[in-house]
Amino acid sequence: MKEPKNQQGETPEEYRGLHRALLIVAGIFFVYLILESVFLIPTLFIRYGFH
Amino acid sequence: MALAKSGGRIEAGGFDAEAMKHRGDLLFLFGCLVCGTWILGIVGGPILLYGMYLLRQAQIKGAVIRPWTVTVVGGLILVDASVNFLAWGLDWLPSNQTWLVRTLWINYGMFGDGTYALYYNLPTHPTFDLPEAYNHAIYTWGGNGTAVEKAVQLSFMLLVMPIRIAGAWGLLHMKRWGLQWSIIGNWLYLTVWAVYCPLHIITFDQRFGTSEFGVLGFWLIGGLPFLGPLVLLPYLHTVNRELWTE
Repeated sequence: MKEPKNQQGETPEEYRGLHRALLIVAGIFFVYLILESVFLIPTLFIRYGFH
Repeated sequence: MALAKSGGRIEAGGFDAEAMKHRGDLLFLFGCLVCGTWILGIVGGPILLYGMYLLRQAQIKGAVIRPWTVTVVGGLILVDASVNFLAWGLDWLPSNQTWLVRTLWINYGMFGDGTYALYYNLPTHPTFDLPEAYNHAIYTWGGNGTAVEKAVQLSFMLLVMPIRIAGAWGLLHMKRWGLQWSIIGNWLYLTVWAVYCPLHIITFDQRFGTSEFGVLGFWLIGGLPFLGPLVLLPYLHTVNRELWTE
């Protein structure tokens, strides 16, 4: 028997497409936030200096 | 098999996987919170990613971990809420007088929202003639001189963001209350966002007319991350909530 793709079953069948789209956007947001957290403050320090 | 039990005991491979899972989970949570400090983000990023790496390794070795969708959604809420909680709290509290916070926010103001650069910490300049748009609240608190900004900061710092942080912690630990409070916290966030955007339009000249990147700066560091609830709420409302059983 073929194993179901989503073994944990967090996504009800009718929302599978919606969740896939949301996950992609949420993933992009997550990466964006991490990059912002890591690089924003040092970049601003370099660009504008200290006050 | 890594998780095979022998005589009621978990074998060595399974134990390793479980220990790795707990370590990865701890580092992931810690990394998200450190990322949310902004100032220490350069340290938090690698910790967070290493935590995710350990979680993946534990999964390969056979440990049962929470769905990755939940990890991404919970992590997104945690980082976003920590950034807004701490950074705005630093501006609201007397810490706004410190060299570190002054530099952080004035640089932010020069980049995006100009009210964080113009007239920042006016209480330290009592002879300064205040523009009419600013009121006396800043004499008490310092930091950003716009009174309405102080009101939004207070609601975020004392109400919305603590709810989101606690909710995300519960969500990541598969607790039912975590899912429920994540939904409540994100609705509150969306509501304040709906207040904050018109605020930006009304005070457009002061905010974006005075910074280097103007509107683009707002969307890069304010507008886009604020859209998080629009993505998170449809997921949180339609997910199979029976998974959050603890």
